[in-house]
Amino acid sequence: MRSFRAVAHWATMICLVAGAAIVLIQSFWITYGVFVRYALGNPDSMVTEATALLLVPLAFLGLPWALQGDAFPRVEFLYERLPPRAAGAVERIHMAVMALVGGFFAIVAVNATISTYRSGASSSVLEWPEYLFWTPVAFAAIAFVIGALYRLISGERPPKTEVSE
Amino acid sequence: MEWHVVLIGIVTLLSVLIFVGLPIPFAMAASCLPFLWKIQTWDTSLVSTQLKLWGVWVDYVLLAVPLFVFLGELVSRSQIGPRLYYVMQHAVPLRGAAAYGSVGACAGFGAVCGSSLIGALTIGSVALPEMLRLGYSPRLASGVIASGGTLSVLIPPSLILIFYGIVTNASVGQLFIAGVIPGLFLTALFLVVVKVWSMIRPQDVPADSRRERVDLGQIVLAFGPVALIATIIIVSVYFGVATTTESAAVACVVTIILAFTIGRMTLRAFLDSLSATLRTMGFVGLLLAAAALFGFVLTYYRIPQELGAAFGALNLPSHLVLISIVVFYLIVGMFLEPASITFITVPTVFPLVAAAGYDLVWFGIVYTITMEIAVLTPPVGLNLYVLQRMDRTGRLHLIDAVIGCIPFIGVMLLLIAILVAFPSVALWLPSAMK
Repeated sequence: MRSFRAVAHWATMICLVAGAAIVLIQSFWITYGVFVRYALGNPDSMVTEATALLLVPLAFLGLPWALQGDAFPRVEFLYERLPPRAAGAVERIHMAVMALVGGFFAIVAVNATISTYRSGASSSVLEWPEYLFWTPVAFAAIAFVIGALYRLISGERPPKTEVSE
Repeated sequence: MEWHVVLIGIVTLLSVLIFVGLPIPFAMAASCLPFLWKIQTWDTSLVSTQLKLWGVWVDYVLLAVPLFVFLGELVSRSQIGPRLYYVMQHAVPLRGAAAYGSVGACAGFGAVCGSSLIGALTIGSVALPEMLRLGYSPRLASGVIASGGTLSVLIPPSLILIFYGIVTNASVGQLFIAGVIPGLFLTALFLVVVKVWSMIRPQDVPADSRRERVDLGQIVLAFGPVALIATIIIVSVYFGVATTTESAAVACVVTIILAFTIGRMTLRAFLDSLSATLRTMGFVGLLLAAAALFGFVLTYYRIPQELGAAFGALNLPSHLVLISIVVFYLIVGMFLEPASITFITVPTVFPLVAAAGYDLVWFGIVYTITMEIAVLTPPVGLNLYVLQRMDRTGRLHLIDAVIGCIPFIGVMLLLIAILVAFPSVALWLPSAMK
């Protein structure tokens, strides 16, 4: 059980670091793009497509981290009125559904990684291989499923954190 | 399967899953997947989902979302917000200075942050204990801060306006500009509420707010960063100097520099900003992925079109259509949070609005005000719970926060009425856009 938890934790941390790096790259690269467009009169031809492509992994790299912080918004006013044992059972059902949904997206992402690798599919202008962007999505979705399965088995629920809206 | 059978089935399943407490993105995905597999085989569903996800996420406009989230997190973890509140509070020479200062600081903060929750958290974490310590009634204090936080989603930048623009294909830049005058107007209405409150219940507003003298340097340090970041976002979008996404990125870089130089940001706080951004993206990423599938199922069965036709056949006057939609959102807003409401309902509702002859940019502002009300109404009023959790004295009860918000919700409804009567309040500025 401890190693299961460690795998879930480290996979989450890898996703977190990779996602944080992408946010910083996007911020600085786009700013550089604006700077060279106006200051040097020489627009960066890569920035728009490259940073948009990086959004694909970024959209999913936070998934296991959000699970770890129990940060998904939910309607709790009925759930909170349940007695502890019933709440525990309902929480396990939630985790099972979340693992199944996450599993579906993980299968989609793994399938996409393999198929785009085999087909050589690439982005329209830069011609960057699509599988490079699907691979982190697949990794993040698998990390999420591992985390959800761990919580399903252990019954652990971390303290809730809020997300921006 | 008939469209109305699918509609009833998907809405029932979604409602049940949401009300048993399943996180909303998963409830959305779980409610539409059975219908997706009814339309497609397993293998086809994998490929179509892959194409949907790629189509949704390779989007330069959508890139503004993580950047504005990051911007809000950066500002909230630096001293920019608290400093703004301090100067606002001490610079107002009126009885109730802390309440006026809170509204002003929330509006100023709203110009650099697109999230109502972060707005309420950042200003509230400083203003709430201070107001309670000074002797303001918990109802006024909580009402001012919870409602003031909502200014962040009307005054650009706004995450809700970005989500709305993505769903309806309306220009995010125009939506941002359209939010400026209503946002400032709402700020003025909030100030009027504080004034009227202090006249009706003077016991709720202490006479001595213990004002301290603020020097020019403090004023510059408080307003300078906010003015600079807001200018980068609003002016560059208004004059077409940069896209919304570019303005977000430049604002992030400038904020990083300001936060480390004059905002007393620590490395720890900076890393926390990044991790909080990723946490939000974890939710938004899956929500959009689920919304793409949900939208595909609805579109396959032509549900938005059929619903629009059925609604149109009723021959309702356009203002009745609008009132029905606003009431619908006020009710849904009691149970769901804004991002989920946007992705679940707006794809179906906006064709009705367009068919009734309303401008989609104008409706975006009306919609955003209903979403502001949504975060203030129980049982799922995010800002109310955040405030209650912030209170360390135990004096603030949820019911006080709810009652405290009522006058502010009243003026938000008044603003909707003003926008209906005078659409140019929202549309004049975008129409004058370069």
